[in-house]
Amino acid sequence: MTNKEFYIGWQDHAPEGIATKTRKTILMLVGLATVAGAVFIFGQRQFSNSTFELGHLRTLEGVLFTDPIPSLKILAGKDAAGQNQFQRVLLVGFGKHSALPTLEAIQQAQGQEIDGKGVRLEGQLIYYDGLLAMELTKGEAAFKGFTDANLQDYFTLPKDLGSAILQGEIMDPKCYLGAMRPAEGKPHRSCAIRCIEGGIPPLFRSATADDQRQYFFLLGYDGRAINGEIAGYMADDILFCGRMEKWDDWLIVKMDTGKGIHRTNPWWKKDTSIPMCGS
Amino acid sequence: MSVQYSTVQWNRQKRRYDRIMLVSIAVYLALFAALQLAFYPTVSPETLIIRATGTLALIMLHFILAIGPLSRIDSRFMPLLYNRRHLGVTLFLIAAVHGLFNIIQFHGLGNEDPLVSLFTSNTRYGSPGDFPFQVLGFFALLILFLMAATSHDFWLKNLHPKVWKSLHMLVYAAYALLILHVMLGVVQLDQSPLWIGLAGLSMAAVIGLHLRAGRLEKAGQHHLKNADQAGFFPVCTADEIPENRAKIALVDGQNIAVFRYDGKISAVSNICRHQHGPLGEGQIVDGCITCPWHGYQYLPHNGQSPPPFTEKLETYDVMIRDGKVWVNPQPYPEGTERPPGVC
Repeated sequence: MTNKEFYIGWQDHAPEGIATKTRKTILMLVGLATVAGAVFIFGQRQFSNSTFELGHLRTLEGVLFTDPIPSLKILAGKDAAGQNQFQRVLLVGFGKHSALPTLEAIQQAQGQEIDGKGVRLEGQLIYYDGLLAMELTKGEAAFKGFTDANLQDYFTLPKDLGSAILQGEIMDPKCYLGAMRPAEGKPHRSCAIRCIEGGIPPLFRSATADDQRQYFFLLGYDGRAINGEIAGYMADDILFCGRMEKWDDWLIVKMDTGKGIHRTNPWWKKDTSIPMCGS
Repeated sequence: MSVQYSTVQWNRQKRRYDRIMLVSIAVYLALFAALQLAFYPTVSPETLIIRATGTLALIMLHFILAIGPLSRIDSRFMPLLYNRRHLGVTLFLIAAVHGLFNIIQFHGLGNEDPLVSLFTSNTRYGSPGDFPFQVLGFFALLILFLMAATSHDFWLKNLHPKVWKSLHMLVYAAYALLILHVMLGVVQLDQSPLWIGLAGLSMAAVIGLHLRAGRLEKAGQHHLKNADQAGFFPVCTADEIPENRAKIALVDGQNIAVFRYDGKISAVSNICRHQHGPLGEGQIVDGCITCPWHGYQYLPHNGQSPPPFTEKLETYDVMIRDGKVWVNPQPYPEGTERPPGVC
């Protein structure tokens, strides 16, 4: 004890010297806490400007495709030559779920095939970096009717872009495009695994050193979903061999899982396992 | 002090303590949100809540851990210690908001139970660089919950003060878990030396304060030697004990506070029955030994709390020989009256 004054909590008043010291200490501690908070704030990475229109339902019209990835192909305008320009809207379910169960429920309720049909869907839009997704927030009630759009006007064949070794990170597109900020890297790994295991189509982001990003929806070599196989690679920097295709405004890469998925090793480990494509 | 349980035994100091605490928390959260939105306007509301509550909980835990040693180093910090329990419960509530938002955000609305997902989504438990750091936060929150839930005097009495104290010492385990939770979580996102430096600095502050307080505590204790034939040990001269204060003596596993008052010397256990506070660092006020932590009181000659209170301490035989204080470390049952030595 360094002071002759003695503080007893149940007494109405603290001795004057102690009360003054306490007041100063509290002010100093609140100041220190605020400075610590400010250091944390200014030390953060900037957040992306992705958008999730939470609470704002919108209706889009287009032709529904469930294969290879559930999407609504919408008319985005015309080019200089007067040709229709299309945009694919990724469809996802509520929470960390695929849109497929919702689309199956809609098909059951309508009593007819909806794949390849003109439909009107309502949901919340999610968008970032030129990619657009729609969450079918209200489940079956997202279906707002058929339209007279016909498949022939909307159907295009994918273009083969050849094979390549790609390096980057697998993301869950729902979070990355706006449902969560930030939505990448190791702290987000658990959430990304949940989303991918819930059936949301994985999105591969390849980035060059100067941050030129390219996005590819990720499928197996035979065009099937490989969510279960790649869930363990979320948030890793990986290398793999894949065949790239262009589907309207989307890029899709079909991963050659037979050649392996390779985590790029940290700098202290020598990497001896870079895959070779086309062999 | 109390003779019956009530939810909170409010008094003026407690009310002031809580008011200041809540206002400080509100100021921190408001400033954090304002700065975050001003400089990072695209932050999502959930992330803002998670980061504001997470940083606040960490700061509060450092503060809580610092109060004990600070009060030992300088008794003028005692008012901060008095109602630390309310601070601890509030810390748990803030940490719970942080944890809840994290579990909902990262693990909820999926194909797995959120609590199961917490442990099974990322299973790289063998990799420090990829370790599922949220699990560490969960266990820290569990400890904080146990502490908050048992913070009432009902549990202190019914669990027995020793068990209660051991349970509440788990705060250091919670601290270690939280530091790992933060370091692995933040550093996995951003390996800036700023975070490593801040964490190192804050840990050094907490450890440094504890070491300094420990040294001071040791310096204030007298390890007794050379008993006489009757089993009495010399403590010090009577003049070395300031009026209404004590010397702390350690011998044969006994922790004894030897008090001087009104020309008399009495010896009682140094351990307060309430929360094991150091009675020897207290004073005699209105004829009663008064614990520096929460003001529990005992009569020096029999170790009994004045009626209607019922707490009792072990007492010891004391004698004065040639101006020297001698104490026999053989304890008498709690509340046994022993004649004081006369200076």
